[in-house]
Amino acid sequence: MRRLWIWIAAVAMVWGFSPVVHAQTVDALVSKQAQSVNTQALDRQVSQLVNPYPQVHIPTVSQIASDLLHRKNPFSLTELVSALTQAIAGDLETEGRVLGVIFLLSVLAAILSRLTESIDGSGRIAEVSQMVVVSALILIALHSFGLALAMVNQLLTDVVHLMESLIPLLVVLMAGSGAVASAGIFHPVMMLTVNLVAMMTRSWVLPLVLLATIIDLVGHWMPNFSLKNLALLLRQTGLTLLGGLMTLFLGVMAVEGSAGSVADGVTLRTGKFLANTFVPVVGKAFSDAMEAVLGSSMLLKNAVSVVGALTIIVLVAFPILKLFVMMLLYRLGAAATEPLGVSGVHRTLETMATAMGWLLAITGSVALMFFLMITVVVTVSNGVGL
Amino acid sequence: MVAMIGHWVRSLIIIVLLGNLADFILPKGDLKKYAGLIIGLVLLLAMVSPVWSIIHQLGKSRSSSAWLGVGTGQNLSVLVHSEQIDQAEAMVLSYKNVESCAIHAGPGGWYSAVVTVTAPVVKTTLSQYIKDALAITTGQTPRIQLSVRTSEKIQPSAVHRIHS
Repeated sequence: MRRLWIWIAAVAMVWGFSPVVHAQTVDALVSKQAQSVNTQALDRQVSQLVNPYPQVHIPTVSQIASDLLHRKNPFSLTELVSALTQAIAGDLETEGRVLGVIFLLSVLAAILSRLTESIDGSGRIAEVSQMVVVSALILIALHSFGLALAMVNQLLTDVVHLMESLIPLLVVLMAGSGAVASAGIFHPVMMLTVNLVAMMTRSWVLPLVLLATIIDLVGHWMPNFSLKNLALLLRQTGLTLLGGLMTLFLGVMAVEGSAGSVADGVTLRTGKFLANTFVPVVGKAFSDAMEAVLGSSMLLKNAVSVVGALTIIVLVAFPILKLFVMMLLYRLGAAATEPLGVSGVHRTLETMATAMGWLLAITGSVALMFFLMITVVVTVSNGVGL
Repeated sequence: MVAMIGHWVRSLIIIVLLGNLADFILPKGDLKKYAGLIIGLVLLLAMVSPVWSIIHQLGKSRSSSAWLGVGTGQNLSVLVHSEQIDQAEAMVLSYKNVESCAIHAGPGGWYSAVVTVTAPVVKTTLSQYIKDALAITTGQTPRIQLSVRTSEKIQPSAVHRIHS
């Protein structure tokens, strides 16, 4: 009699539970999870950050999730490329104007020096005239360098804001997709690394590069006593700091990632095994349902990380292109003014081009670090064996 | 630190500019050579002196940490213990009608507590309360010597209560 009752109960449970498990499509699960996790704050932050570039449109998290589910491309690349070409055209126009002024100045300097050479033989007046022209040139160059520096600073602030709104969401979804140990390890480490990298770059690397550039420019302006090696020392300190930061960052990410994912795999497998073995009859259905929930949460997590990666790409692409255009124009100016024979001018332009190159490298490596952080987090917790 | 480096570099740049100016103004001759040497020496001094002072400071700070005592950790434990007692005092202050409380640590796990109250309290309950507070903060079961004093001034709220 008792055995019969147990059988009836088991059949009723199977009959009652299995439709619930199997009737829920992945679509429904994803939309339910997207509603339960608040992604609006992230979407708002992203749209605020991308606001200066109205041509680019970054889709929301739920949009990306549904697009990924239906195998559609969530982001139009052509839009981004056309916006970038427009930006390049605009940059070329504004920076070309600066270059025009520089050309004018250097031609004037050349004419002046030839004239003064014919007037007096000692060459002192020629030196003075060259100094005056180079000082005007340095003023213009430093102004544009200051603009570039402010741009890089703003970019760093923006990216840190983005990461700070992205990381909590990502970690919640990571924990939801089963990677509990990774989530616990990653959250403090990621917050620490993001803030450390941004702080060190903003308060050490960029000022050191700026100081080195200023010293170099002063050396070109008044070449009798120059401090070229001091500039080299400062610049090398800054860049070594950046390199060390990057090495540290990559090492930490790699180690934490592997440790966390192993622990998660063990936890998940144990859970599934327990459900399969010790829950009679419905254990299999239960572990299947668990897998479905974890999988949908993983999809949502990947959507969040896609939003983060896209936003970083968009935020970084425009400043990097601008820096690149500036560097190119300064190099062009240096190449064009060299035959005029005024040594200070083309050296100044060369120094400016190199400084722009360093700024470009710094921006690129910081952006790459943040980008790698997002991808590492995602791949680590995707690797959790279900 | 970066601000310090900035100051340093600024002063260096100013010296370089002035030196170039002097070099420019001076007439050609022996004087110019010696002036260049002097300017170079000044520049060297300005460049090296902050580095030297930083090294000097490092040495100084090291000696001051040696003065504090190394490795025994006694200072820290004393500090922690006094902090624990202070916290226990703060807890006792939350007891009803207690105006002030002073706890001193004695030898052998004994604590002497002097409590001023504004109204008569049950001494055993108060002593148990203090014991519990010390047990919570220090983590050991203390033995205490309690002396209760009644303050002369009567609480205005109590007077008010009597009249109404």
